Amino acid sequence: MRNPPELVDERERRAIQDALASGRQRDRLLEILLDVRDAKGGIGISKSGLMFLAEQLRLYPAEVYEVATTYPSTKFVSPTPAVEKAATDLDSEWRVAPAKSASFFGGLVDGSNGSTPPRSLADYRESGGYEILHILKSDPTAADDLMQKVAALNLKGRAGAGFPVARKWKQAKRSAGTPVVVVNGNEGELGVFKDRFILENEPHAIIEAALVVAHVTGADHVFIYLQDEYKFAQSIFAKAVAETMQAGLAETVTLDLRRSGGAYICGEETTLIASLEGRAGRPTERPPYPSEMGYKGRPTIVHNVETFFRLRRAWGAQSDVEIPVSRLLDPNTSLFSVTGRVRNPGPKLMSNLLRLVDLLDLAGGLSRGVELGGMVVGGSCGTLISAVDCERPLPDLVQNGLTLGTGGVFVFSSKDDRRAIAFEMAAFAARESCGKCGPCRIGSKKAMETLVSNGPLDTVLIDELSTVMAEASLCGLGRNAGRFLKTLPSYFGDPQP
Amino acid sequence: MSGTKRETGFTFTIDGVEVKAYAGMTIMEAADEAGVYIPRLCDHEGLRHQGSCRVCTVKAGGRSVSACTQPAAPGQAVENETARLNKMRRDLVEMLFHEGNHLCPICEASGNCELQAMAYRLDMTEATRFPYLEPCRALDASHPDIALDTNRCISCGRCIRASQDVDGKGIFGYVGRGIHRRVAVNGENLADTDAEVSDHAISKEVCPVGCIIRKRVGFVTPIGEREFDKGLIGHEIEEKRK
Ligand SMILES: Cc1cc2nc3c(=O)[nH]c(=O)nc-3n(C[C@H](O)[C@H](O)[C@H](O)COP(=O)(O)O)c2cc1C
Ligand code: SF4
Ligand code: SF4
Ligand code: SF4
Ligand code: FES
Repeated sequence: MRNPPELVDERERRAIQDALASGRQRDRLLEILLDVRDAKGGIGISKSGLMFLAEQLRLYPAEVYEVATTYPSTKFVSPTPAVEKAATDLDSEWRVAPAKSASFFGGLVDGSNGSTPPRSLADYRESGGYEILHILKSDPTAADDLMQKVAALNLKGRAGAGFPVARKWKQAKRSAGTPVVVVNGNEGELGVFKDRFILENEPHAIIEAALVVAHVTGADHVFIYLQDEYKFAQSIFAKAVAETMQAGLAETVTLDLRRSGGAYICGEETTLIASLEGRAGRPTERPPYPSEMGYKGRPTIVHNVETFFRLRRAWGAQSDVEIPVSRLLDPNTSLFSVTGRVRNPGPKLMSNLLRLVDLLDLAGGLSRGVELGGMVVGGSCGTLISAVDCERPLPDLVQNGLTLGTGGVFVFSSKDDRRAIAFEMAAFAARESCGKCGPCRIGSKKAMETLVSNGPLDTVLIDELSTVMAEASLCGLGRNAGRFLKTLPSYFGDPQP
Repeated sequence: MSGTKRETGFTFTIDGVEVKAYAGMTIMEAADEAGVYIPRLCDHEGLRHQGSCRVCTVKAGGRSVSACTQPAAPGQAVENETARLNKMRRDLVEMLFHEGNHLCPICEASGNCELQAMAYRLDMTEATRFPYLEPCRALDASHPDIALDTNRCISCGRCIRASQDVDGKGIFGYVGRGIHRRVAVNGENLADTDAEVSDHAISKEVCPVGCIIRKRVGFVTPIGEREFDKGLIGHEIEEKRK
């Protein structure tokens, strides 16, 4: 920079300096930007503020700029040059048609399921919580036994892909460096809020399980990465973490609470790690896998919130009728996030041996005057299930290739425009694409534009786009969005099983 | 990165051709040494791998991977020049054309341009059904010796890596997400940065297309004598095998 940056507003300068006071390391860059945002009452850092921050951290302004613009939660608005503005005014920089409908997959208001307060540390310990840590510390063979138990129970990751938990731990133990454990509470999937339900009810279950993983793998640092919009869960965890440390339960491990960058992609593990390191929010190629080389080059074990919760089965945690969420300790129970045309949307615990229509009873039935059209299962890249198939037992559907993914269930009526639903799903991919790789950046945009026009669907074009996205995209976002496009005909013609 | 442990050599195949590799080598590095060309746009000799254009997608062990980042594995059968992969690459290249504003006949890079050359190599010979996105991007001619026209930018990031890692300057950087992601300069405009025409990032070989233009040397090489007038992109690598 040749020209000195314009003067920073005095209040903002103070906010930046305050944020820097809790740590000037580059890896706190996202946290610093969020602190400044909060100090400014929800308004993102200004451009001159960014220049000042870059100078303070001895980074290229362009680097700080990049970080700020890849994380929506920073609320940084980059000034648009005049020429672009002309196009922007038309409707964003690109000729985007407006969304056809209000959001179908409406989430829930933060904290709305806090009907019961979270279980306290005292209550949690009363029912045997944290005892396993004591056993692990006093019995040197307990860690290996536990690892074998986890392998024998065949516990799998709940983020969607179902990777075996024990295998990830083994990879981390085999790799060089002290491992790091990450609780992935980003939960960015369209219409999914299951992790929030767990976080708001049983914070200590998650902390205990994360400390156990740290002990078994020799990790000395646990990151608890929570969706920036989950303010309620954040306050619960701030308290729970402090209690845990005070009680001397985490003496050899640092518990580090972090907020997300506010994008779906922040839940992808390499992006999550980038945000923990204060780098731009984009995935990197695997290999190396984070379990071998992740946060600052150290082996990094990332699991979904629900994975940590269910893990406790390995050391004998039992479900308790008083604590509904504890039903998840039963492998045949799933936590569905029900949205759409129902009276009472929200997180629903149900046996996964039942039928999708049984979820309707748990959700207070269909909305008034609605006839069931079908359900979309699995979020933004989910599968459309016809009303008839919703009557079939879930195991049947699973056998026919349905994946429940993270358990998002969107209920639609026979009058809903299926194309509008598909559009919303495609628009989600376009909105959430990080833009790093061509197939997803351009493909998701083109797919969305193709769906918004009212003419007949250009199926050849959609098929080409879906192949390119599914096969050539760098990460799961583009790849899954491409696979979803392949199933689009089911949204228009006869539904597929 | 090239292997340091040269002693641990092994072989694998690309389209049936046996290729030698060393631990730590990517599929593309091994292919280059063996004279097998794998199409690419964002990867460039001397710069760290980024794996973002995906034009180098190959099939290895049944999975689609980017050859510029995927480590070569002993005994693996890699597919490269298949009709299916080339069709996918052509679609990718077409999408890059549609993302920007490309008017080859009036472009200074025509004939030296890797995007254009890749389109020729992949038989992209006519206009396609993909809708154009027609962005609207400003030209930056502020610098006395350099002009920047990102209407042709394919977001490959070669200029960014060259400036950060080779020149140690950080003149360029990415901003934004999704389709709004673009290359920006480290200041109000290029004149406001430390960019110099002698920077590696500004040199002819770094930008694969015609975004970074050195003033007063444009069109010095007449059309017909430019780099890809002599042969298809990749011919130099392929000639190693003959
Ligand atoms: C685009 C994208 C978004 C993701 N978002 C999340 C998320 O919000 N939460 C999560 O736990 N995993 C998410 N993942 C999966 C993570 O990368 C990682 O695989 C997971 O946290 C591993 O958890 P598990 O072992 O418990 O399954 C996402 C993956 C992709 C490709
Ligand atoms: S697939 Fe999409 S989200 Fe993933 S790296 Fe590519 S552009 Fe980013
Ligand atoms: S940059 Fe390449 S493809 Fe684009 S207009 Fe110039 S010559 Fe054509
Ligand atoms: S300006 Fe050129 S080198 Fe830089 S990202 Fe764009 S196309 Fe690549
Ligand atoms: S050359 Fe491999 S992804 Fe661009």
